Amino acid sequence: MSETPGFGDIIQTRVNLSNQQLGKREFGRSPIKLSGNPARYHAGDTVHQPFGSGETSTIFALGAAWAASVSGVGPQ
Amino acid sequence: MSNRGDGFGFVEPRQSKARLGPYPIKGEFGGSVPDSLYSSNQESAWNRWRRGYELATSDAAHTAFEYPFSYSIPIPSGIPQTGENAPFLAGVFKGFPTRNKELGMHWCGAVLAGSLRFDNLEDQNDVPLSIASVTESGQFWRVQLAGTYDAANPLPPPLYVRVPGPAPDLTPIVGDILEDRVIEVGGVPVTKDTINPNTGTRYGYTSAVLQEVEPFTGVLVLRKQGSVEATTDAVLITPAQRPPQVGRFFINGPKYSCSCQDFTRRQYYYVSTVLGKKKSPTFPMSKCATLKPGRYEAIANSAQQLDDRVMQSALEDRRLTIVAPSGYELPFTETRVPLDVGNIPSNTNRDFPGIFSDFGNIYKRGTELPEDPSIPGSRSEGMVTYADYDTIPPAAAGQPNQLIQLDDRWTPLLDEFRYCKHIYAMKYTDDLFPPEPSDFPTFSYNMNAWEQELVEQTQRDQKKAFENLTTYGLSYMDVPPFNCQSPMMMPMMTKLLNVPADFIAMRGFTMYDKNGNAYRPASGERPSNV
Repeated sequence: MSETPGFGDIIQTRVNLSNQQLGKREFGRSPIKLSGNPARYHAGDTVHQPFGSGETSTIFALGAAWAASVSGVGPQ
Repeated sequence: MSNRGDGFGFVEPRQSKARLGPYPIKGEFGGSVPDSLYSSNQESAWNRWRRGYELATSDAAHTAFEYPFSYSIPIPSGIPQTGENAPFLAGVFKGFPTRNKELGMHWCGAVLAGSLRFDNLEDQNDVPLSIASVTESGQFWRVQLAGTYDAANPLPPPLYVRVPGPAPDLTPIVGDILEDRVIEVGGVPVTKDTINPNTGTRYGYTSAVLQEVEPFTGVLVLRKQGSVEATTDAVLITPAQRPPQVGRFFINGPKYSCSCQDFTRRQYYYVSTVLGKKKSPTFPMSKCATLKPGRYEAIANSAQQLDDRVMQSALEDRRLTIVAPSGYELPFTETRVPLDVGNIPSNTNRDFPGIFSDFGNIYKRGTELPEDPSIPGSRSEGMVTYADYDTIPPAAAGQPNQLIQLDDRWTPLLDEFRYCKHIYAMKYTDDLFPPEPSDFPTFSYNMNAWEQELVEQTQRDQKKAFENLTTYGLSYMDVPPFNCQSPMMMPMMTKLLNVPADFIAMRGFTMYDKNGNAYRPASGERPSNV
């Protein structure tokens, strides 16, 4: 990797539709046309989330949610 | 003469088609051993694997129904959130147009790899949880995490959550995939192509399912079966030939969930009249045998009123709870029972017609840990055993225990976690060719003819489903995340995000439109192109 990815960036994606694939999209016989390529996240991607020391990380938040739930505490 | 329907209003297919399946599993309390070739075919994972491939190829270019999202996990009351970056799970919803589904769409979801990182977990002495050592034990890798652990200082949540009282403790991420892809604290996860600058070769990594957690010794048990290795040649192979590497940190692998009746093990009632084309009168009903005795799910609005409608607004959160007779509540159930219901037996024992039928809830293969057969699911399933039942002490001395729950630990033929064809389709699209299940069905006729028909039928169905969608399709509130708190989607969401239902809030969703622009539905925002 030539550039360091930022927080929340995708570092690996397995979905790269060709121009031909994008152009062939259709809804049966519908005249509806599509545009754009929603490439933010695809299944199979890997996301980069390097929380720093002292930050509330995702895995911490997940654990805190479960720990709070079994004690009857809900979200803020 | 019309086809005869079952007790839930489902029309039975003609026998010639019934053999081909797959259809929702209908056995409820019949034990765990398939008793016929018919059930073997019907419940075949290979069947779903093959159909998933066909669906993926037929659906490859339909990215219009992909809804990328990031979900910020709400922080519990009393815990401050620190740092610049909110904790979130990245993922995507994908709709699969379906001819025989209400509103014409099944919703499948995936949470991406990388959101949960073990370099963000520490032991009691602030030691990050790297991989300290790995030993092999039969079909498992026993991974010792760095740190010091004992009964008073177990592995931190979410690896292990201690539950007050007699209820069993929790291990929320058991069953998830772990991958040893972080080389150093805060580092970028390696991909299959990442090259180690010190050696000039690729790092490679191993993905495996977390089978068991030993919280007081800091050991994770990973399953070799179904594992995937990215080799130094950038090739994915299964099962993995090398264990997770010492010194690295785990991240979560991809996680999937689907709203279809095959994955959720639920039937539903098809109410739509398809723009009035369907003339026959319908009345939803459900068989008692398919309902969990005495318990059902209920969704309530903020005023704690029962609200099982489809969602009407993205600006008001709703809550899922399980209503149970007094004394028979499940552990961890929310206390906020809808006022309309009350936790009284006369309500909780009633039928809940036409909503869902449900059975069983845990589907995993025996862990084959012969040294401790008392662990639930620790051996290959046979007939129903005493361990399948959950009881509470008797009301009075001398009386038998009271049965409160039956977990149908049921995996008759599988060698991996059971997916529906939609999830298999997503995995194919991910370029991660899923391992072929071993339960090849016993076809009643020519295999080639069956496959040819499958190809043609899938194409026909996809085309027709699109046409239907454009005729009577989805409203704005029928797509994620606007429908995520509907009765159909809420159980699927809890499995996908793996947080308590209480922590699934509309305000947590940030969506991305087709041009990559973010919008927050709970703030009234919409895609930029609407």
